[in-house]
Amino acid sequence: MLKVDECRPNLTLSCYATHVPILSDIYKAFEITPKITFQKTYACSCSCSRIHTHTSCCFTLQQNYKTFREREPMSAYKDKDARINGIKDQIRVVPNFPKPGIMFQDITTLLLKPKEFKDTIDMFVERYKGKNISVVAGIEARGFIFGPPIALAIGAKFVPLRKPKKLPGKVISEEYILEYGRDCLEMHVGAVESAERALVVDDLIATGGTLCAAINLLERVGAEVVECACVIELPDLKGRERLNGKPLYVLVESH
Amino acid sequence: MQPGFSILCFQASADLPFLVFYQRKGVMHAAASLLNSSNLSLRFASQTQTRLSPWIAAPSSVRLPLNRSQNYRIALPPLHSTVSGDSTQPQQMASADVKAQDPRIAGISSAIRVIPDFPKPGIMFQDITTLLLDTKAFRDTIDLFVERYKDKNISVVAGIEARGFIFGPPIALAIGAKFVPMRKPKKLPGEVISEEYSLEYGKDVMEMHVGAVQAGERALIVDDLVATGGTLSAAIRLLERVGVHVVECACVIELPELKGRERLGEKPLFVLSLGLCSKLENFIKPSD
Repeated sequence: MLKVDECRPNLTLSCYATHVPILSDIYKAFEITPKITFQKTYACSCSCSRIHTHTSCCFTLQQNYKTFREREPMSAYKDKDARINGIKDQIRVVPNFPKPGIMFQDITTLLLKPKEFKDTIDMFVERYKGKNISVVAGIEARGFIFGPPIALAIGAKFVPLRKPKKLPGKVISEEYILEYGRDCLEMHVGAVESAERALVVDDLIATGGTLCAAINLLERVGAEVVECACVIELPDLKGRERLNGKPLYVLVESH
Repeated sequence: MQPGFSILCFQASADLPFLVFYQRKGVMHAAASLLNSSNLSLRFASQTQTRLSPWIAAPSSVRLPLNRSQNYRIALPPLHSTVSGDSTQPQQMASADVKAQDPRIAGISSAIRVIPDFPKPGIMFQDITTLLLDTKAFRDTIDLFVERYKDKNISVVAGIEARGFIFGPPIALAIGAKFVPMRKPKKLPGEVISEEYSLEYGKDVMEMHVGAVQAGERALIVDDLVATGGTLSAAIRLLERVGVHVVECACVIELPELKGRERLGEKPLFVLSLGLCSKLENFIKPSD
């Protein structure tokens, strides 16, 4: 469906004469969310003699395309790993908790099944082993269940990110917005050093507010957040977009 | 010091007196000694000729590295569990292992940080987050527990919120048991059973999901630290109410001054490290 432009095959998208309908095919094929949607005409940066019409998205696309090619698929769900169905089947949905209308994704039932719990950890470990990650940060309290086994298996240290006044030593804090009101996430000063490569782990991503605060905490001390890893994603809440451009990897999606 | 005592001593910092712990009939006592190091080594020299205690240590061998000198920590041989009627803990196994302290214990103990006056003035808080930053020590901590429990047919590891969630799951995964979180009220979404327990001031409640465990299962309870034993006792009661057999409680740290071990009654308690919870100055008594 996508045609590769022959003049500069490795700079495909920058040479691609597009109009909006075809652009949307590109977005679908590469799973990229376009950031800008207006159109503009200018000379193509490749050395062919044609003048092309591009949307200014093209350059964003080119960047995303390149980084996309380096990236592995972002969701095990789409990988269709055989272990995924077993994991998904063990997650219990509890309606109207903590408030009416909310379908709560309960991972405690997954923890009661040693094989599926181990599969969950194994899938993360297989992904992150050998990626030179030195820090696994887990978000209180369910991130404390998944983070340490991953950290132990990949040889990284585990850093708990906690609600206020729980950590006894000197902390840095990051405030974040909830649906109603604010909350705060804290990390010990000195737990993470500058230029360390970090993974952020939690059981579930909803709006992405808590993960965003965690990313900010780590970046404030100079760490590089390589990826966020969650067991469950609620894609309808678009948490993925709230992660400062950081990649997100999940095992299971729930709509 | 009279015969019949085994002695472990350590020095909290270079300029503080030695603190002497001695064990008598299986119970730890503590006394501060105002003796300086040279006096104490003389005493030890005379004691060791008459004593057979396996873990008398000369001061130099238990002195902590100076950069950890404010650690207020004592390292113990790993099998420090109360004598119980449980046939899985034969007496000869306990005494065989106390001959040599596991070499991993020292690294674990020294990785734990003590924060004074947290959460209230006068309390010495045992901070395990520094242990989690030391990959070898964290792995050794889990390994020590796993080696102890892996052939004991344990099907349930219960971890107490929130620091029990850090140590419990790796142990559960390694021994093939399920992990059951014991949580503060209103955190667990499904149907729960609750157990009230006393705090220093007031009460708190611990909850567990109905149906997480079945009658007849063998369980381990894991937390980072045992102080008064109130939380652990509540966890034991919760599990026993549904017919589970609690095999043992396992903690990284014990604060022996607070007598948590006695509060657990006949339930065995296994710890890796002891800590002082009050300031050393409160502890010092004139020597006899």
